[in-house]
This record gives sequence, structure tokens and C-alpha cells, in this order.
Amino acid sequence: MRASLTANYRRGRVISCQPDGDLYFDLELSVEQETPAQPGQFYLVAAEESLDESLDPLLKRPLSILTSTNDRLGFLFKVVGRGTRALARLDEGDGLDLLGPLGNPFTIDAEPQPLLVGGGVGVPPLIFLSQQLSAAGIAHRVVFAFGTAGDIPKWLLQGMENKVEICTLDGTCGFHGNPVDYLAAEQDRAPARIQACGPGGMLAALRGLRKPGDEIELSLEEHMACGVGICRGCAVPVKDGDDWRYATICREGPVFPDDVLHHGELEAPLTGPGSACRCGEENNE
Amino acid sequence: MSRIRAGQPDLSVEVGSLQLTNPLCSASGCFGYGLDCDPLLPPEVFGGVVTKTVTPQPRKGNPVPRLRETSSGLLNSIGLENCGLSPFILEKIPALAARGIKPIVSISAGDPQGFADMASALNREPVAALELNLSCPNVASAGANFATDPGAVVEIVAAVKGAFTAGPVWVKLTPNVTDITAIAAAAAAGGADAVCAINTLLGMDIDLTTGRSPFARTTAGLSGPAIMPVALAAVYRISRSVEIPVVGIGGIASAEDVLKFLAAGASAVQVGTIVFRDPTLPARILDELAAWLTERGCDSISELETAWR
Repeated sequence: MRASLTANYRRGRVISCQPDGDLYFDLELSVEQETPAQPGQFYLVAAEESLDESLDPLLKRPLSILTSTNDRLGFLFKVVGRGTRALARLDEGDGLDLLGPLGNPFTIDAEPQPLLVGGGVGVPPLIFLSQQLSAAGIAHRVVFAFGTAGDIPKWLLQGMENKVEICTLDGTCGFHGNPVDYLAAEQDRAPARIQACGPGGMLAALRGLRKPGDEIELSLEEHMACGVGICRGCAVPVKDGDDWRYATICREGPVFPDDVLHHGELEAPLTGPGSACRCGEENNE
Repeated sequence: MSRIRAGQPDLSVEVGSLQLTNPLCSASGCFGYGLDCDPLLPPEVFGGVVTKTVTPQPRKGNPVPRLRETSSGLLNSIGLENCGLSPFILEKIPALAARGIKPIVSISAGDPQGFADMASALNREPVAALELNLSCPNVASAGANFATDPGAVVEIVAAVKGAFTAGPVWVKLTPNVTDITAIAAAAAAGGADAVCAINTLLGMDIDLTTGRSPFARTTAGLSGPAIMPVALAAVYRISRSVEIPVVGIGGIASAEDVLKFLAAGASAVQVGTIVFRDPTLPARILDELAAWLTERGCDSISELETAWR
């Protein structure tokens, strides 16, 4: 399960960084060399000058990959603190420190049929996954949830409107409610590979929808420093024979089959305060 | 592995009897067991590989959240998560030995006898030195009280020295005391071959959604560039108060930082938190260190120290 460390340290240059909807920033980079990335993997990203001068913010931010083609990388992120605020201020031509691609990706397989469920900032890696599934000719469903219609990134509306089933918590677009309620109403849903990324409460509730034949993959997130497993910061309890142990989300995840996660009473990794599992959101603050 | 190249300055240093190919060591807890970051950061880059603290039995560590970033710093509450001594000896040491590396092994135990038993077990293994972690502030039962008690420091160091003859014994000091030189003196009195300063500073954060600390153990350890001035002052004061060498630790992020610690009295240094920011930085620091010496006409680190004093 532990990914081999094939990540590279590299420099990138900003091609564009602009707001996309009320929630996201769309960051497109050119990189020195192509490294194929898979949906669910992530990069650690920081503005170049923060290392050369101030060392503040100190750490890179984990951003899940939205697109990875040739010498281009794309991310979609939300400003939640100092690190992502610094990224949002980037201009064309600015330099970036990058480490990646890191972590284990989502499964790409036709059986059972993939059902992608993304909430808020958990959406970007699933857009990448949907594109790869389509490229492989694999039929799949996509359910995305946002707080309100204004949060929806406009390119998503332009590119995938026919494929995506939208939920908004305030009912301003698509289904009025969260994606768990949306899917719970389907009594005769066929067995699916539920591949999800989003708030911890959403991921925990998705487990309750499990039917015979379903497989569930969850992309988790926790405060992260190194991205390569040495700091042991982004811990999540996983089964270990009859016992359990802490795995690191960066090295053994971020995508975990739900079956390997330990759901004992000691830990509540998906619902605890401050442990929202949101890929694509910076999380060191 | 030597980084000495023709025409390059000699970066080797001595910490007492221990020869290091360069002054840069990994700091315990920031480099796993030495091979966890390979090949991105090979252990051969370091002059000394200090492994993650091991305890007699495995420890699962603390619940999340374990980290919070601060201004130029990092709070951590990992909780000494480790594999325990037996797997460390059976798996981690041989893996490093296969690469020709004898680690500096960081150990922690619940009492002096526990320290001595670990030291005795490690005395038969290919290790370069021991580093005693008396001062990890995260764990209520392992080490939290010893580091601030001079009498306990003397007792533990003496017990370890009685059980370990394969190499030097280093003692890592906490800055969370009134007078760190008194603890350094206690380590020296117990027979320590060197002291390492500093471990993390006691810190905490408040989650404003709850009004409480986000950490299960309330407080956490602060590291990173934010603490470097504190570490530098500690090294300066300790190196002028005890005869044994001092290894400097605390926020090092550049060749200039390394040079400041050497000038303050350190014989070598350890880098930790900055590796999380950039695992390729240690190699670059060494290149910059060599360039700095070359620019000033110094052929070696020892020459530099002579020029300063």
C-alpha cells in the first residue's frame, strides 16, 4: 500500500492563477519536466520566495492534482489560510517549489461502475478521475456538492454539465441538499465503486449508504508537513491484523479502501474537530 | 559516504571521538529510521544519521491533529510513535548497515534501568553513538520529567554509560528549563560525551471554534526557523560552561545558519523541520557551505574555526 517514493523536487512557473467561482482559485503551471500523475495524487506546493527569503509560510501546501499533461500542471484550491492566500496572490511567471506527484491514486476500473462523490474542495481530484475514466471508456456517474451555486467553478459548468449531477446545500442549483441524501433516495442503485473526496462528515455518512457489492475508496486529508511519511503528522488509524496502527495519509494514502481504515472507538478520523478530509484544500493552518 | 572532492574544502568535523564526514546530521524524528525518504534524501548526504527515537516497546503515537504550522515554525505532537526496540534492531539497523551507515540512535525509556537495558542491547549492534531523548515534551510517561531534573539526568547518563561502550553517548537537552547550562553540567557529570541543544520549545495553539488547544495533550513542541535564536543562545552558553562538545539544533535552514552555530560553539549541527519543507535542502546546504569556505580561502571547517577564534 505504501507508495514508492518516485516524487521529484522541481520548480514551476505560473501560467495563470485566477478566481474560478466564489470558492476556488484555478492555478495552472508549467513545470521543468513531465511526470505522469494519476487522479488522487497530490503535490506539495509553495511560492518560491518564501524559502529564499522569509521562511514564512514555512511548509508547502498539499494540493490535489486537477490536470497533469505534458509539461503542464493544474490545481484548483480554496483560500483557507496564509499558505493558500500566498498562492492566490501569484502572478504569471512567478516561481513555485513543487514536490510530487505524491501518494496513491484512485482505482481506475469499470467494475463495479464508478460513482464519484465530491464535496466542496474535494471536487478537483474527482474531475481528474472522471476525465481519466472517460478516456478509458469507462462509464461512470459524477455527483458533486457545493454550498451554493456561486461556488461552482465556471469551467466545470462549461465542460462537464451534461455529466455532473449537482447538489447544493441551499438549493440554488440541482438537488437541494447534500449528496448523501441525494444518493440515499435511490432504492435500486446498482453496486458501485464509490470514490469520494470531501468533508469528513460526508465521507462518514457515505459509508452508511454501502450496499452489497459496493466498494468504497475515500481520499483523506490531515495536517501535513513533509508529504513523504517521515514527519508522521498526517496519521490515520488503519487495521493491522487484530490490532490497528497509524498510517500516514501522505505516503499510504491519500486514497484508502474503506475496508483498511480502522473505525474503532478510540479515534474518529473522519469526524473529529479539525480533521475534515478535504483534498485540494491547504491544511496547515 | 564522503562528500570530499578534489579541490573542494574538507567538511569533516569531530564531535569528541566521533568523526563525521560533514557537520550536518539529521535530527531525531525528522528523518524516520534513515531510509524512509530515500532516494529523495539519501542518508549518505548526512555526516551523521540520527534515527527517530525508539522506546523499549512500540508506541502508536498521539491522535490527530499532530501538527500546526506557526509563523516560520511548526508545532508537533506526534507522541514518540515508533516501532519499538526489537524491530529497530532486527530491521532498521541492518537496512542501514547494508548501506554502510552506522546510525546515531535516539532512545527514550521510562526509567534509568529502561535506558540502560536499551543501551545494553544496542551495544552489540553497528551503531555510531546513542542520543538520549530525555526531553520530548509530548509524552506524559516517557522522558517528560527527566530532562528538567539534574539529578535524574546524572543517574540516567551514568546508567547508559555503564551499559554502552560501542561509541559516544550524546544527551539531547530541552530548552524548557530555567538554566539549560545546569542540565548540560549534569549530563557531563553523568559521563556524557556530548550534549545536543535544543529539543523543541513548549508551545500550544488555540482552536477558536472550540476555545481549546487542538492537541489531545494540550501542549506541543515548537521547532523550525522561529526557534533558531533561542537555540543559538543555548549553544553559546552551554559551550562556554561545559568541556564536552555541543551539537547545535534548532531551525537550521541554510549554510549561513550552520556557520552561525559553529561560530557559537557547536561542533556539528542537526537539521530537522526544514527537511519537511524541502528534502533536497541538506545537500544544497553542504554545497553552499563548501562554496562559502572556498570564497574565504578556507580548506576545511577546522581552519574556519581557527580563523574565528
